[in-house]
Amino acid sequence: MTDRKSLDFGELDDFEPRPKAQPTNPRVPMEMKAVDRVAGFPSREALQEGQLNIKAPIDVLDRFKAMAKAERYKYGDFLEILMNSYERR
Amino acid sequence: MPVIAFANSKGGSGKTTSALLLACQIAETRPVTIIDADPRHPITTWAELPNVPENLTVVTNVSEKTILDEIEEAAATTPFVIIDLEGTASRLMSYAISQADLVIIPMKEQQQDAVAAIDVIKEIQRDMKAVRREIPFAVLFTQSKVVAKSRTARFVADQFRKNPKITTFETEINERDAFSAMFATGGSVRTMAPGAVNNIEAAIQNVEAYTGEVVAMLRQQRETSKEVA
Repeated sequence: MTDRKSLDFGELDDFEPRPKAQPTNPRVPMEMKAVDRVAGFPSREALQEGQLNIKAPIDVLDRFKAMAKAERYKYGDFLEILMNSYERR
Repeated sequence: MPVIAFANSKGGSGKTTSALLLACQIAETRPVTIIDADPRHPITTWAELPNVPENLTVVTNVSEKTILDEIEEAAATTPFVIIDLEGTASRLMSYAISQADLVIIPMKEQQQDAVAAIDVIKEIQRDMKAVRREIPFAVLFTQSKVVAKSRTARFVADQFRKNPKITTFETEINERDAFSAMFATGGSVRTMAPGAVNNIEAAIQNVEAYTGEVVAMLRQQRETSKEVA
């Protein structure tokens, strides 16, 4: 065992620490949701909505629906949350 | 990082003027961001005129969906953030209130302004439940006559001043030439040429007294929140 040449790993400086994930900020939508629940003042902004039909594997779609449902988000709102967190990664 | 929101659901109550006066006065010493969340963008229009204080950044609000991000970003950039809101009872106003360290409710000493001010106070109380913290607020009388106040004005103001549950500013923003001239000439009361408007010294004193009260409120509140923590 002793005469075996140890493996040469080099300096390993080609590995970088993974950049620390930005603390995703759920505060913003959470606080908006909290205000939405109690606010007496209505939105005055015209809602511009469209429709998006997504084709994906059933398990992906089920996962998306389950995640949105767990937090009681509408699919559109949840899609935005996912995109925001993707941008902050 | 105090965030100060100016809210009254009635238009013409003096929000933009009192927000801009405070912003320019604080900008004499510290950087300030003013978020223009009135869709008519009066502050943004003012900022296109000359003599905007160097320490003052104007951010134009995009929509109610972006207001929280705009406030957070501004609060991370400058020590003071001031939000000027539209004179409408809107969800945008509720969102801004939810982030404020102080809500200033400007109002003329008139019945309609008073009714709207009370609506805003009720909304602040609902928002406090949403964010589970105290949101301090204070009523600021605006466009008040320096001399010969009307009976109605005194009657309306007294109901606020004598209510132990409502903080009111001792200082009133008077109806002054300099305060309306600002929006036509650009800059602040300090950059106006002496003689260009009536009694500029009185206007400056008025702004200083008002700013002094705001700063004292913010300090007192910081002490109170330290005691709680």
